[in-house]
Amino acid sequence: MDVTKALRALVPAMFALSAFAASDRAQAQSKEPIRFGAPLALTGPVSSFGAQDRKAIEIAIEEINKAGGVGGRPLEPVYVDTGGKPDAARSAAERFSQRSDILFIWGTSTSAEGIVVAQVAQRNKIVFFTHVAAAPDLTSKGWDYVFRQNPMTIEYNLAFYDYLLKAVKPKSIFTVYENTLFGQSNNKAMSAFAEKNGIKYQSDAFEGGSQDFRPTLIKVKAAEPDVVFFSAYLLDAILLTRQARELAIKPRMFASSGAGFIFPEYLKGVGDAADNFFTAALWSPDLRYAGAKEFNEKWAKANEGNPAVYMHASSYASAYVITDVLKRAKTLTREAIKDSFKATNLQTAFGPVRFGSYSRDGVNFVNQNNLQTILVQAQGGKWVSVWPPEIATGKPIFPIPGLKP
Amino acid sequence: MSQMDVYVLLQTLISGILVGGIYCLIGIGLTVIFGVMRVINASHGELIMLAMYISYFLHQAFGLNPLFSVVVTAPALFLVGCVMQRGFVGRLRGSYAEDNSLLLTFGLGLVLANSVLLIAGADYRVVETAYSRAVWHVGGLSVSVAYLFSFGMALLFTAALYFFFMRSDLGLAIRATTQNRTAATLVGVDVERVSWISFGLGAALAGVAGALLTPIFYLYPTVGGLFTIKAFVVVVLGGMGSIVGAIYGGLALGIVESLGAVYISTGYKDAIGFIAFVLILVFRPGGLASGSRL
Amino acid sequence: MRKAWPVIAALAAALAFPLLFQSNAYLLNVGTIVLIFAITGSSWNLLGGYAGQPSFGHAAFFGVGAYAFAIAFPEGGAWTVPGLLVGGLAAALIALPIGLLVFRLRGPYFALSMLAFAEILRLVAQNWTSVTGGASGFMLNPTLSSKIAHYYLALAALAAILIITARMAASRPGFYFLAVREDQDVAEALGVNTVAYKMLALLVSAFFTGVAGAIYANYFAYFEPNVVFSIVEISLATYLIAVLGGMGTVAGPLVGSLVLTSMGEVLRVFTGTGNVLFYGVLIVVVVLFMPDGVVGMARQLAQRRRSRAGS
Repeated sequence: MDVTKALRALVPAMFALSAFAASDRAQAQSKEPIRFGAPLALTGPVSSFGAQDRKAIEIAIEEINKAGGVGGRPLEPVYVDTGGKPDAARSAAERFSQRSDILFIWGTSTSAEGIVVAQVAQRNKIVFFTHVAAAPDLTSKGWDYVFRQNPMTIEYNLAFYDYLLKAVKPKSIFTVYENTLFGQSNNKAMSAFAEKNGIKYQSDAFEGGSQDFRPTLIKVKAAEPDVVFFSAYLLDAILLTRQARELAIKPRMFASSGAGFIFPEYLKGVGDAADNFFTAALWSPDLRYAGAKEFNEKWAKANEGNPAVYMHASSYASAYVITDVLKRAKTLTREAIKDSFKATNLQTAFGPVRFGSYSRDGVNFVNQNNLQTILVQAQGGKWVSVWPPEIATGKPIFPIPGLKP
Repeated sequence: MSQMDVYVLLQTLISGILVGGIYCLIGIGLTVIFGVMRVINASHGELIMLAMYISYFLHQAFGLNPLFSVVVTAPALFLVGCVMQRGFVGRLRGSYAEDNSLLLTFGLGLVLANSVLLIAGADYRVVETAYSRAVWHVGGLSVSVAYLFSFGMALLFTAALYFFFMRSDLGLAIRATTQNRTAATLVGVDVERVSWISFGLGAALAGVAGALLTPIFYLYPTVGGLFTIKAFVVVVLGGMGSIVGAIYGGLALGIVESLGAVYISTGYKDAIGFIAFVLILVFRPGGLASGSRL
Repeated sequence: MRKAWPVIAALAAALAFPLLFQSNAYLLNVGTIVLIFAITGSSWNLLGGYAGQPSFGHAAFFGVGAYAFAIAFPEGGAWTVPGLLVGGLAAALIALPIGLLVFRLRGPYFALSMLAFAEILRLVAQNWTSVTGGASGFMLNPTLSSKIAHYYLALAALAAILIITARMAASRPGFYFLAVREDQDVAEALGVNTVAYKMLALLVSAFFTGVAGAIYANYFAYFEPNVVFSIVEISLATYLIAVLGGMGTVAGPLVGSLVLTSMGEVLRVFTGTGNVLFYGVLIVVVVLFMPDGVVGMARQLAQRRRSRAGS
């Protein structure tokens, strides 16, 4: 009788104990961070991209974790330096796929790395979520584990084309571009646009880091085009601008494609030589997106007053997308996360994010966010959004004083 | 020929000469080291890069005009050159010394570039001064003042070097060592001393180049690679070890590249230099200036 | 026979490696990379170590091999073996005129001309967009998805170049290579056809480097001109692997590749930075203090121990 009584007392006690133990483990598990792979270029020639990317997402992650993370669990990116090299990115992606605690992969700093990581991710059935890699190939191969938040290179200039057709109506365009994936892609897109609209088109390529662009610019001057379009990274952008002014080239409009021109160092480096330049961009702090202005202020405070650029905004927003995806996922497994990504529909500081399928120029894209691109203009030493009027807050200055009317 | 065609030709030539001037400046230091030591300094570009960073930081901290920073960069790089020679290059012995000097200096260059990368970061930096954008407009043609000035300095230094080598005792000692190391030792030249002084001199010239290039080029830790390659081509074109040759080589490269870029293709501009490099090496190893006394 | 056991042990280890680590894709990846670079290092070694013509531009052959394979067989997969041969042949074909042109150059001038050619080819790949895809690089649709298959392919190619090197070294070409390396003028005076033997070394070297490039293309399924024609990542790495391992030895480049690749991975994992800095430091250390490489040093040690034991 005593034994039974004792046992009967023991049972609830054991339940209580096990419940306690379970909650203890749950407690410990609730502090267990949610990890994802983050292969970035932290050293090497493109390390400034990787470093800034990291800085931007860290701002978001700090906010998110302070607000409790996902179900009490903090987000923890696992950074690996790729040096900007595709084979290092591949190694990193392979290693991430092996680790059971890595739920998905985020990144990368260059499109070449992005393509390699995407292939590995697709093969190993783990999501690769990119917020900045822009080569179309990433979402045109039907890889259903690859999701992209940012516009593709072929979409970068859409707002610019719109403005050209509606307001400028040029007869000729001359493109000067860097001989890289981004540059060649820009040239192809501009060339197709010109052909479709009966605009005379010429172009010339240069090697990045050439420092002297005069031979190309002499050709530009000789062609006397209506629109001069540059595609270059930061420092080439500065020298191109300086040297174009030096050779007194006077088209109706100077324009460029995001990348190098949108960074604050560009306007600082060229001074008034870039007054009234246009640039095709993906984002601007003054757009009518909720959270854009606030993020810009946070970024400026942490970066010597420099305004934020599309890359930073996309990085910041991607953390919120990740949080939303993880919260909606049925379980925290790689498959469920993929399904959750597919169902995303979120407003962020970078813009609306929805991963859908659509086709452009006869090619089908999947898991691609169809984000509106914009046009900005250098007014008073700052980039101001000027097109399209639905989301831009500034007004374009055209014709441009000092250039061909 | 239309007026525009004439413009294109003239502007292209001017542009080529001015860029050529830069190339001369870059090549002089390398040819001095080669001429004396028969060492191909594959880190020459990194020496220029170091000078550019020194120039840049002096400008940031004290607002010092990069042109005046030569006073700092030249001696600083002289020291670096001496250390390189005494600590590293000079230790190479044996029959493979020449082959290994290429690999060794390449390695040193990598160390320099990547150390700067770690210390100063990969961010690109640019210095904007009053004359960075100054232009002379001469009858519809544009001439960059900064480039012209650099060219002028290259000529000045070539002349100075010429007098140094021809008139001074040390210069004579260096030339003797170049011609015949053993004989020079026999007549009492301290060959060891000549070695590190020459290396230092070559590096100091790189220091001058760096200071002059800061207002017109942008800098980043690995910019040296570009300079080294151009310097090699200039030196080979002009004749390895020939100071005057560096002038010919630089100008030739600049003009040919410019014409090639405008009239043939910009994408292959650099290939022109490489092709010229190989052809001269194979068919006229003395370079364009073979026959010059210096 | 005493010499054979380390070779057999190494071969057994190399064969067994993927079977032991089947599930570890990361290690398999590293292993395959080690093999690819061992092939290029060994090919370089034939020309640079044995024949004494160190080249600073082997990326030329690597890149040509990669592009030849990719252009001829964008589907990779089933056409792999003939594809690799195409890669090798294309590289050898390019090497022929290059060699004829620059063989009169010595030492560092030869090395630099090779660099010039590698750069020229890189610019061609970058600009000839219609054929090579230009800067966007080349994406293959491989059907050979098994990692293990790639590993064994690379191993087979490595075995081939090692066997060829060993046989050449022990026979007449090897002696002539040595003669050319030690003193080309004397060799010429003694009636050795130095140009012919240098060309032999160059062609074999180029062929296998081209094969390595093709294997790389097939394995990574995506590459760009700056990657396969890279001065630092391919040309310099190849040179360094041979010097580090031991120029003029059969096993040297394999050892060199093992050491360099694994050190690189370890560094990347633990410090996440300064990979290329380490290359530079390694070069300085090796050139100044270990010019005979790891294998060379090992031999000297063994020699010293043997002579001490003998006396």
